[in-house]
Amino acid sequence: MKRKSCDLFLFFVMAFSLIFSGCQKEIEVDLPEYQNKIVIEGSIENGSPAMVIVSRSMPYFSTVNLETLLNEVFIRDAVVTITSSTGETENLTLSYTENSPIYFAYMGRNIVGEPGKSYTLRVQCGESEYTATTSILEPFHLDSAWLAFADANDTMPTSRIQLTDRAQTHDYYMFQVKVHGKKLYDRLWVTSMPVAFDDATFNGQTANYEILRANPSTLFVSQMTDEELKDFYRVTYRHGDSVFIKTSLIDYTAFQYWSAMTYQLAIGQNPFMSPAPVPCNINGENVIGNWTGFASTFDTLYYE
Amino acid sequence: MIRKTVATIFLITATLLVAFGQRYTVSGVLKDASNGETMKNILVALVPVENTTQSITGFSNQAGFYSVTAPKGRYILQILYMGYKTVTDTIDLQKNTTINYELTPNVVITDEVVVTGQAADHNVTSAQVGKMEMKIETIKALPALFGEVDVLKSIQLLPGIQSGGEGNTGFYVRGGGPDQNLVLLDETTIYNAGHLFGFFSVFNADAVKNVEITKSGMPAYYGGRLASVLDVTQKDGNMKKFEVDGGLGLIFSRLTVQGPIKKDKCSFIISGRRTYIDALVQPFLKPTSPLKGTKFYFYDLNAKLNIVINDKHRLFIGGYYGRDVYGFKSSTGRTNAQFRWGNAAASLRWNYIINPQLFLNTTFSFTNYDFATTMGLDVYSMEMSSGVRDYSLKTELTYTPSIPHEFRFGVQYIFHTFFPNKMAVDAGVSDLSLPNVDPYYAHELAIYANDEFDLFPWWKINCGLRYSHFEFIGPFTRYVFNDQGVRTDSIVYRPGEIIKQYNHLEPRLSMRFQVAKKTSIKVSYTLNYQYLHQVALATISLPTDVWMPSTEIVKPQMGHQVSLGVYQNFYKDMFESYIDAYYKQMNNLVEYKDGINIQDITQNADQMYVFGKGWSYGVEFFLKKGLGRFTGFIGYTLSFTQRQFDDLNGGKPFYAKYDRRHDVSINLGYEIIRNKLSVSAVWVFASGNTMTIPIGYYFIAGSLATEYSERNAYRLDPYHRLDLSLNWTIVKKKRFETSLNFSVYNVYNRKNPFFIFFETNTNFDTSNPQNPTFDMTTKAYQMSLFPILPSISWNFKF
Repeated sequence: MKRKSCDLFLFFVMAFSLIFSGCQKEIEVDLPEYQNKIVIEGSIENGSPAMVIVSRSMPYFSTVNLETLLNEVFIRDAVVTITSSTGETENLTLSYTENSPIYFAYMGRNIVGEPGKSYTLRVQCGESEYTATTSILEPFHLDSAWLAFADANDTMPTSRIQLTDRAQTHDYYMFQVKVHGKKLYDRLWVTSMPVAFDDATFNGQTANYEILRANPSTLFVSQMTDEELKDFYRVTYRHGDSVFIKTSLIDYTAFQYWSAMTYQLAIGQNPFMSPAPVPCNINGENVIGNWTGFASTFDTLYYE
Repeated sequence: MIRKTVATIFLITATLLVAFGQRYTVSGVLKDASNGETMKNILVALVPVENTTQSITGFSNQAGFYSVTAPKGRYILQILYMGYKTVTDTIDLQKNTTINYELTPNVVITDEVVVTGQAADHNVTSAQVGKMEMKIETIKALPALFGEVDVLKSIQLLPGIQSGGEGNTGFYVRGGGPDQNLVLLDETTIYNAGHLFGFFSVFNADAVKNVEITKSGMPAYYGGRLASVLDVTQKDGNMKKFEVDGGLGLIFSRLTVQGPIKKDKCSFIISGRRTYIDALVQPFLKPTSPLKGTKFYFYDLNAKLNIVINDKHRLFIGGYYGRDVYGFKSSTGRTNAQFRWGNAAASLRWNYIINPQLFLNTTFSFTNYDFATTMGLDVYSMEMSSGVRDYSLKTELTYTPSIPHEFRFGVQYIFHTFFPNKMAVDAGVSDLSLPNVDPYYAHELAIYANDEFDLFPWWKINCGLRYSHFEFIGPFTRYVFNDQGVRTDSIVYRPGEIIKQYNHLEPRLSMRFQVAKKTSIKVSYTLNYQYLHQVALATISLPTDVWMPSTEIVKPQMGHQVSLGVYQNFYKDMFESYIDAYYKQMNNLVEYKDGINIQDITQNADQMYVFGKGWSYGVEFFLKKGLGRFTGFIGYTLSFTQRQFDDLNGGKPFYAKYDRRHDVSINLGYEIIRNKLSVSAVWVFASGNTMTIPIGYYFIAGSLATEYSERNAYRLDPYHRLDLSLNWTIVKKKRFETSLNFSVYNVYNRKNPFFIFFETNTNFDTSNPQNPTFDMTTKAYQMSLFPILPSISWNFKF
């Protein structure tokens, strides 16, 4: 089973901080001049319309509030179009969505993702145009999914899945989970741990994995109480949880992107790790992001 | 080609021998009279009695063996070495003569010592460039972290040798990486010289006799690394009397026992250290403390047996064993982790004085470094291990046909076994089986000849040629991947099957031009190949960093270095100084691919690398006062180090992590009361390390992602620090000695950057969906490790 390579180093960092009582001070960092980039995050899934978020990257030490977020970070005047491999075209419309922490996304209505089709994304931002193509593979169904308890006394299970890999193809899996709840972050699909992996170690075999609940965006944590934080960061489930597991097959380009992006998000602000560039499958100047086709199936677990 | 070269060298040597006519040799072994330890690099001079020709001199080698050849006649033999009584003897040289001498330490060192041995003008007269020695007494007098002196940290005060910073024993020589330093303990390679995440080195100063580092002009008898050789020699054990010495410090305690098994024939030394800070702290911790359940300690043991078989034969059997253990268990018991790593080394050395002009040194050695970790989270557990193991045999013949002329010829063979990351996973009910990760096997062979001679009295040459051969052999399974990273095939190699071999010639040349009595100019050129590689994933050296051989994918690293220096002593050798400039070009350097998962066992470990080149240039200044009550040195290095990889940083050149523009070390010592009370101060200054820094952020996948600068485009604040120490010898008698060391580390409490990190605070309140609020700010923080740290340690000897 693959684990993120930073696991080991996190232990070392922990060891450093535990053993040596270091001291810390705030410093001024003089950054080089920064050029903003366009950030495009788009996806289309079997059975669902496309959703594309277009935003702008910001200098690292910028202070952002809701006004700058909506007016400077988020781009609301882009022209976003998708075209399917069978020739259908649709202009996506800017919509309010509860499924993004920055609320606005360009949403499709008419074109719904279908397995076996490819989709071309075209984004026009002022003078600049960005294009990308992705496809939706045939969805894949798990053999089973269940809540896994450490022993008879364990009341905080994790989830496990079993799958039988297809021997004739090289497959790239991606898992996302969410727990039904009232908070905004409960409504977001979150990449689980492990995030994306290929079948190199179990091609054609039956394998089972522990799918840990990952924490959603750290954007939410600042105002949380200790109790809320503990709940937010838990990798296990508790009584009353409805656990949704989304299993997606993605292509190699998307696998590379999601592996690199989750590595980047995982190392976060860890000063001991070397950052790595995240690949981008969108054509254009000064652009970051990805256009991914997901072939997804869903399983639900109830912990009563 | 090689055969021709060696034959030519022998021919020249034989011709020179005939030309010199009737000459005889006086030879023997030099020892310290107080403990019977052999003494290296001691000047032996034959001064003719009946004429005014120049005296003939030679130096003792690492086994204390000296050999001086001169025309027949009467001579005054003088052995002069700072801190020892001068030996004067009259010799009538009518035949080859063997005389062993024991040098008696001087109780009082006077200011008037004028003529000394190696410490005096060796700096100016030797041909070798870039070789520096640090006496263990000097090292012990330096201020140190927690009062515990450290060989590696001390050597890093010398110009051109850069520290990786606190918490990092990796050292960087003239722009080379930490893996480009060959670290030897009694001729045995030590693959990880760090303890306690690098805060201390594996070298126990109580067991060490001598420390030498060669950073340029590497002679042909050293090889396998591009940047430097750190050669540490253990003590042989007191041949005269039993001796116990040790110390109690804040971090660890030390104890050394040595003595004769049979006086002047056989001796032993055993020396050990163990940290105890974790055990001391545990009882005082609250149950909720994050330190509760954490254990962290290291220990090590040095041992050596020294057997004088007769005047011609001598055996040394030495060993080292050291372990670091770090364990963590969460208060709930659900999470636990343990890390264990360490070195084991053993050597058997045989010295044979074949005749007064021929000395044979043969060493068989074994070394092993291993790292293992186990981590558990509920039913999930993971074990990971890696390491490297060598068996080595080296034999070297030193021929001293005349003075000044020393010819060395040797052969070294090493059988390497590398264990890349091997992982075992128990995932509770998992039925996954992980593929075996093959060890990597390799043969390494070197044959070398090195000659040092005076072409003219003002022109000394040290030249050599090293032939190196490397074979990467089976059993091995090579995975073959297509463009999309899909494994399409495997190639299986049989045990012993040669998968890839490399053959290289490595010429080495150093020359000294004596332009005045106390001034010389030295130039050197070396070409080195390195067949072993250690690549670091994290931004600091960690015990997890794996050693790998050259394979058909990973080519040997290659380094050219030229240096030019002016060396001058003045005021009766009271001061020695040099200015040395260098340029170094390195090819086939190795780094991890960006964002690689090193625990990925679906590909061969060497398929995770990218390759590039590097270059470094700089100038070093050094001024030292080695004599008198007031001693010290000043070192300054100005340097530039860059790397360029096609697959990193968009192919553009970038500054190396430890590109160090300015590096200054000042060490001053003063003996307030002779042999009683002394003070010492060290001030260091180093330009900040480079780092890759966040320059922008963006929202993606519901999170905040970071956009980074070009590789190593930012430089941290400079590092500087002043340390003071006071050594007080409370009792110094023949049978008992005790002293206290007071040290203050970081006297002016400089908050040096250990690393910087960033924290983003977001206030994203969605409790009222109609009127959400959002605020986000990011700040930078610098983490420093050690504030001002006073310490005391007690040392004893009886």
